[in-house]
Amino acid sequence: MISTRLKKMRFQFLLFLFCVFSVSEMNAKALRVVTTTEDIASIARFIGKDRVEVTALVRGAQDPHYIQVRPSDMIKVSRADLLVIVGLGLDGWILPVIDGARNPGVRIGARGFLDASSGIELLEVPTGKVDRSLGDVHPQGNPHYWLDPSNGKIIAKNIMESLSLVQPSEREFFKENFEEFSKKLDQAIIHWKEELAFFKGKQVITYHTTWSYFLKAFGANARNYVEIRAGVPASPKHLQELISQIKKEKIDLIITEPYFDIRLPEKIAASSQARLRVLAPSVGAFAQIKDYFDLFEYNIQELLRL
Amino acid sequence: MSSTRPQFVFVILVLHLFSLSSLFSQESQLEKSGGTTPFWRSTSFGSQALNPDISLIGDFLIRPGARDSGVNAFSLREAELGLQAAVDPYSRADIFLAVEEEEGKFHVDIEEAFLTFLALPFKSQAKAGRFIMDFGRSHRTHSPERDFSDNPLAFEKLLGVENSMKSNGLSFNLLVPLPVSSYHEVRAEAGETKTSFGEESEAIKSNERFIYAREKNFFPLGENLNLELSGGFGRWQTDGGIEKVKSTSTFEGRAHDLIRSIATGDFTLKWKPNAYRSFLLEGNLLYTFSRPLAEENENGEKKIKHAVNEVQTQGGFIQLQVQPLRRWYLGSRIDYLLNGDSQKEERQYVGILTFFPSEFSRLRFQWNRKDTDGEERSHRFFIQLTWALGPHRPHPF
Repeated sequence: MISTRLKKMRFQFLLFLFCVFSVSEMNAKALRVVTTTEDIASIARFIGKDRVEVTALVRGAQDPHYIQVRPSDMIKVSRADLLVIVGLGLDGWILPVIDGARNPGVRIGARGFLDASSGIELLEVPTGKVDRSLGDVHPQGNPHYWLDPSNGKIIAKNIMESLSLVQPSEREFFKENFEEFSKKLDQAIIHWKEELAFFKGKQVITYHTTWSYFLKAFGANARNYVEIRAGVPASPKHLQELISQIKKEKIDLIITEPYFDIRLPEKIAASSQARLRVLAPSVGAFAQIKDYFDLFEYNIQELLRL
Repeated sequence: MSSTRPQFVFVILVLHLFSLSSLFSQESQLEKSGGTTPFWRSTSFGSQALNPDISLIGDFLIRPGARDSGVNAFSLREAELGLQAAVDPYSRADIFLAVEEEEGKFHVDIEEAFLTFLALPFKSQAKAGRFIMDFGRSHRTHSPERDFSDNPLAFEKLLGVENSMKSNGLSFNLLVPLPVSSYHEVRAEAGETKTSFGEESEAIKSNERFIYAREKNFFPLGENLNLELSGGFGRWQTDGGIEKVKSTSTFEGRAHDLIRSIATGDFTLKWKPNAYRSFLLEGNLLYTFSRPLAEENENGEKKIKHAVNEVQTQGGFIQLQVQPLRRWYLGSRIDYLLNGDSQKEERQYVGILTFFPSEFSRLRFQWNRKDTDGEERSHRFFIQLTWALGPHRPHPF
């Protein structure tokens, strides 16, 4: 009697284990992709669709330069099949996360690791001696390259190739999605450039060098920055010089990011009669920006209000 | 002592076997992805890119009024040189050399020098070499990078003359595989150390053997709020080296061959939503217990001791740090120490104001008030200037 009951319990236990493993196996079919930023996560979702489960470590409203590494990030990376970073030193905080994750599949050099900046034509690559007197400079070049929409295609191609390496059986699926994304982005770029035709040749002041790629993509140019050097806050003298420059050169636009203190650019705008726009540097910076296309739609609509 | 060597050899052998198995699995991954050029086929020699990351931290301290008590008012307390790089795809090395000033003379000390096997099976890692032991967030941070200019009384009196316990040994840790987003790690360390338990270390003639276990738990309480709740327990034993003058109500004489234990518990609550605001609350408790194996009274009579553990010393601190503006921090710390031998109670109250001219330099003003048994009261004032050159790898958390 006891023996029969034990056998029944054993069967139930095995059935339970089978169910647990089946559920975990079903979940395991989607490739787990971890990205440092929401922008790269959005592009990865376009390429991987339902075959990937994408997690971004940094929210779009956060400044990716100053991220407090969290042990829970290590847990996410430890379970990842593919880790995609922006690179160029923007997300250098990822190094201790990779070390702590104990996942050999996503270590630098492994097939599950991707630096998405590969193949990007970089801006502001410092020449000559590079040291901290230049501020928190990025020795390899400006890392905000995703803000040129044509770079979105290069990022997408890099992700498509990495996903295909990690899951070769889905290569064609990822390739089709990449082509679909590229086509949609090409059409959007034509539309966005038409909308921002008035922006061509415009001189602007930006808080940080975040907008260099965006401005170049739409034919504008940054004349100066609110920061005295990258990552070094402005001095009162610098602010006075900036206000004088804006008045003298009749610059009418200041662009800032939502994670910087708004009071400084507001003060400059009030003193110089220039208009201030808070643009979104990343997907998720504002609640309505859900994907990579929304990012440009939002910024262009903000600029159209000029 | 001799009995520990075969154990060490065995542990090192196991680590190598683990890293070899890890090596094979990763090599096959590299091959599948098109592979990388093996170093013996590399045509690039002498590339700067292969040099380790080199960083230097300078720590300069001004102590107004210190000359009255025979201490230099101006001192370059430490210059820390860091060399950090991957050794190969499976391990990395971290070396920190500290040039320290002591009584007007400089000497070089190996702060840490260890090799880490990064991805051993079962989400484990191992470390071998000389390293600072993990008794909590503040303790595992190097001195110049700590949140205050001085060290808590508990570190000064319990953890060695250098205010942090360093050991030569092995450390093995395992990520506990739980289906949750929180982080749980168990750690076991074994080795030898000479700087344990503060002032007593001067009497140590040989290294003490130790074993130490710790559990670390991190809970994400929100997007920008994290809680660490951790604790550990360790045991140290001398081999005929130590003798300590002991005076209690029941014994007057010398205690030989101590077995000593330490229990630690700590928490850190950290909130940092952006570069402009942050909040940190940290607490750490340390208890040490001591049990002499033999005691010798004033007549020279020795006896084997089988007494139960007795509490020697207990101490701890709680500290708060608030960032009201991008470059400014305000902080406060309260230290507590109860010396089990003298039954003296010490308390210290600390306040700081820190200004960061940039991310790479820091100016700090600190004031301390120390009360002993609620009567003796002393005040100290510090001005600390710290600067960093090169890519100093950030502390994990």
